Amino acid sequence: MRASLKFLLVLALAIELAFVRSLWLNLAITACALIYVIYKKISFKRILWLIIVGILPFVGGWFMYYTMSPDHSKTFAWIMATRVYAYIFLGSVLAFSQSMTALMRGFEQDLHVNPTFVYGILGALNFLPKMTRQIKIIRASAKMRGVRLTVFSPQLYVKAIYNSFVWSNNLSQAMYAHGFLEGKKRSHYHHESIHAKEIYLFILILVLSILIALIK
Amino acid sequence: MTAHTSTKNWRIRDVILIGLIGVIFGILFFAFGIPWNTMVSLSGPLVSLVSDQSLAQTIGASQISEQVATAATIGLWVMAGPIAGMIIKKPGASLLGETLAATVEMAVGSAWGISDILSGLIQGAGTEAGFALTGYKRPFAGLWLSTLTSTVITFGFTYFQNSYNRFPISYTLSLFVISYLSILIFAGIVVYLIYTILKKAKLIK
Amino acid sequence: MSIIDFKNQNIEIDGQTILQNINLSINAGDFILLSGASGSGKTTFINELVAKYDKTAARVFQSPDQQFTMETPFYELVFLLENLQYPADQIENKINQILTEFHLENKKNQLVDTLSGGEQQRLALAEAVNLGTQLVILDEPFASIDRQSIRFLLAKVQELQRRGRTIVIADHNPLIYDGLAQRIFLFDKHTITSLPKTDFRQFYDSFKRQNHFHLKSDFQSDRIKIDRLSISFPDQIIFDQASALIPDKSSVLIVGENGTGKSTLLKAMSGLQKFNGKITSRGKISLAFQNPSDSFLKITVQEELFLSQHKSFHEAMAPAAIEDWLTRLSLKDRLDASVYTLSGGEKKKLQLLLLVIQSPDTILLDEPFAGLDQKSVLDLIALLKTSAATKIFISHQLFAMDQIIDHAYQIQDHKLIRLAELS
Repeated sequence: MRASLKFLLVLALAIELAFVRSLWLNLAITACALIYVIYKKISFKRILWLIIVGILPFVGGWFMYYTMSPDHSKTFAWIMATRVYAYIFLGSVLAFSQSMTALMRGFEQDLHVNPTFVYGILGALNFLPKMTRQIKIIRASAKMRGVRLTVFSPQLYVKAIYNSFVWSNNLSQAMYAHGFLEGKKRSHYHHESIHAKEIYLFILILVLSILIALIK
Repeated sequence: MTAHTSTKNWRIRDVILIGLIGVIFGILFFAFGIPWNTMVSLSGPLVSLVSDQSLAQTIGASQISEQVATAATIGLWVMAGPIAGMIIKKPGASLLGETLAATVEMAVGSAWGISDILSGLIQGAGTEAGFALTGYKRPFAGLWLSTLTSTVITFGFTYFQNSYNRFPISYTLSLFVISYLSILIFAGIVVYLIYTILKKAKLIK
Repeated sequence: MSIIDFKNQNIEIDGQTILQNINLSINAGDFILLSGASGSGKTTFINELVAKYDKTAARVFQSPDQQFTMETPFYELVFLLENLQYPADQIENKINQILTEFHLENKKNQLVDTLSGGEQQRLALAEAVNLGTQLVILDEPFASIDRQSIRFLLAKVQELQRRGRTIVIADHNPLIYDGLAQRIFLFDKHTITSLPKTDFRQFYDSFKRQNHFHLKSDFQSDRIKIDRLSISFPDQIIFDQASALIPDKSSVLIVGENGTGKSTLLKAMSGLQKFNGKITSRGKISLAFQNPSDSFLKITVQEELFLSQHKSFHEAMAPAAIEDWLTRLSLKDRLDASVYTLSGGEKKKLQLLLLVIQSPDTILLDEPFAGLDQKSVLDLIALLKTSAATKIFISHQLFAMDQIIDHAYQIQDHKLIRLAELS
């Protein structure tokens, strides 16, 4: 499925998970998402990491909902616990099965999102590794001057935001030097209109998820 | 190059800036999240060692304290929105900043998965409402209002998502009060501090 | 035919006049070299050119890591061609053709971040060429690349000029443009002068400077010991079992071609770069970051000074001496200014003053004098000589460096080689 539709579908399922209490829905989504990411050849290490990350909220959530709810319902505890993994693996479908570039270009071509937003956001997200490095540099240089910066120090944010100012200026200049101009028409490499088949699949999965949620 | 076009005054520089603010907070959210889970996971077994409770019960109890602690730190998670809104005083800035921060956090690999994006959207909308109520004309009034609106909207969503109706009402109420204080401190006072420093440093006008 | 005219124009930023009384025209087909110390207004002038020019200008920027907008060379070019409304079905062919021409065909889908400096600048120039506009601006385009890449890129720039494009280049090393540039704009004292052709020879010769280094042959004790240091990046070896001793209380210059790993070495010593092998050092190490803003923590100059005095590792510089240095470095009347509003040169001066006040045991300096005027360089060298710390320098510009340097190492074949002499 194309990235833009996949995003909408994942978001719709996430909303369903947030409001519908169904063990079968949680299990079905976890299983399907897991199969999908394995099919998409996501590394085993990454999947293992996601499983480990979820253990604590899973176990803890079970006992909390079991002890705290007045009727001590085990069914309810199981529902809330399994939802942890449904969220995690649904997220991994979005995060790891296509590039951010493909997703944002999909927004532009399929959903007609304004290119200023598409490429501004994409440009900023491509700075993720650089920003991580910069935050390390900020903390290291503070340490060299005898100051320890933690996540509670406004100075850490101020310096990171200062870098954002500098970089956003430079990057926007670079965008213009690539011939980009707000509101100017662009051509679309490799653009395919959405097929009816993709829409049917989208609706089918949504309807199925609702039917599964109805199983008692 | 100076042509103002049909994008309602949104220049690409503004979008990139908000995007980068989202990236900063996404990285830091992730940094908050990891020590967070380790702390909780270690505290559980430790408590069970010194008390005569079973391990399982203790983990449940620590999860309850996590709910309290989550409420107490919610403000940290909500900061990206008001910062973006204060710096770029345009409709949608808070919503975009917060949502992107949440997306980055998920992409880096957090324990909350796709619910990060949902929370990001909700928290961003909550903050956005505060600025919108002033018509984006009075940033400081907007900031203080946003602490209220984001608490109400964020807590309302958490109420349904985590089925707080199952819990005793007094517990739920105290969670609400803790959440508000946390948002007031981090997404209100700390954001205000950051804004004043940026202004004093002449980085914003 | 002139494409941009300046008539008695002043250029201001935030109420500060950067350049005044500019009177000049840029003509189609010109090859113009901009020369002057950093902070003399070259980049300000370039930004004004871009704003004044009524079409989009093609640009190659100074820092290669902030001129790319997409993840890979392929998507960079897709973005460019789409912006130009290039027919969608011909984009793929066009991209392959561009990548082949600039010897990047194997790098199509590699992350831009992981390209070497030379590859990044080739991609940047490939884009500037294909933007197809009359005006092409290059701002310090060769700052971080090896000689072979410079030759390739210069040939491409010449080819552009032959096709009638207008070229504007700012560079702190003008010698590579000897014989290429048709006009030279000098930036000094807030003005721009167009140098007469008869003075070109003298101008270039003034950059060919001889240094007289007197390197010491032995030393008593060492401050830092580098033992079998190895560092490598994906498909690139930087150091392979390199060893060296840094003498105590000395000033050491590290030399080597661009891209051989000089900055990486400083990062490894200060703990910002992972490595194999062993680096043993005694005492506190401070790194003067290439970008001075990275060293600042407070808001005003005064607050920064207080911080360094307060957090000094050994006995801090005496207040009277600080006063003297503030005057000598022309920072005296900027005490209440925000550090972020200082000019590039003022930031550099403040950064080094703060370091010396704080007196760590070792100071690592990554291009501390980049683009400063000669008086500032002399002042800063005098300042550094007052410090008892061991100092390790990386510096492209060698002006007056012979007054302070007493040891030197060269990076060659992934090793550190101690030099007996240096010219």
